[in-house]
Amino acid sequence: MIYASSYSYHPDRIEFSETEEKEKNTTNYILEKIDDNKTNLTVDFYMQKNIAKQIIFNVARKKKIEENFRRSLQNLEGLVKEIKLPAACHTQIYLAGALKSSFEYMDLLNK
Amino acid sequence: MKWNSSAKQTENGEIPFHYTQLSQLKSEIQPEPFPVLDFSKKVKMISLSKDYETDIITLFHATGDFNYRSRWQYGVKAVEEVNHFCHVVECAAVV
Repeated sequence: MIYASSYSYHPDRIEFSETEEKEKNTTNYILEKIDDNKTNLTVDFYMQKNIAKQIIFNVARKKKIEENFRRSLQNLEGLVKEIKLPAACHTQIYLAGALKSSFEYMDLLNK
Repeated sequence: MKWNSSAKQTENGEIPFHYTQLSQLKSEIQPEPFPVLDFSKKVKMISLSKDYETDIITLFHATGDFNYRSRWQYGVKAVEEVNHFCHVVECAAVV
């Protein structure tokens, strides 16, 4: 089970995170505008501080998860070319700078 | 706030009441700060970055909308939304 755990908006920088309920691992997404048609995405994966779990992660899981993320970012390249948003959508997001919660940003995406 | 008075006519007689506009109070309400996740108890294990030939809003839709998640996130077969919690259905291999 994953829940939206944070969200911040600026026209040139959007940041949001999702947290896995059980282990509390968090994936943080940072979108930064380069220009009107180019955007950088940074994906950071966090886990709870725990030396033993961190060591186990580095030894047993990090390589695979990193590769999964890499493939995901590659897949995203094709998807963004398919998405065509109506102009109103862009206006809605830009006006949504006062969103109060992650739930509200999810509701906005679903409109 | 300016209070006004009026009365409601009922079958049992007149009921006087006072009322006022609350618009001023609403305009004074400060927006809540954005929830900021506390990373102090967490450690960053992986960080990847990539540029995309698209605007920031389109990329936000692609990444933030769970409806698209299974189309790009490796290992995610489907996303089932339960209220505001999303149950991510993962499978071992995705072609």
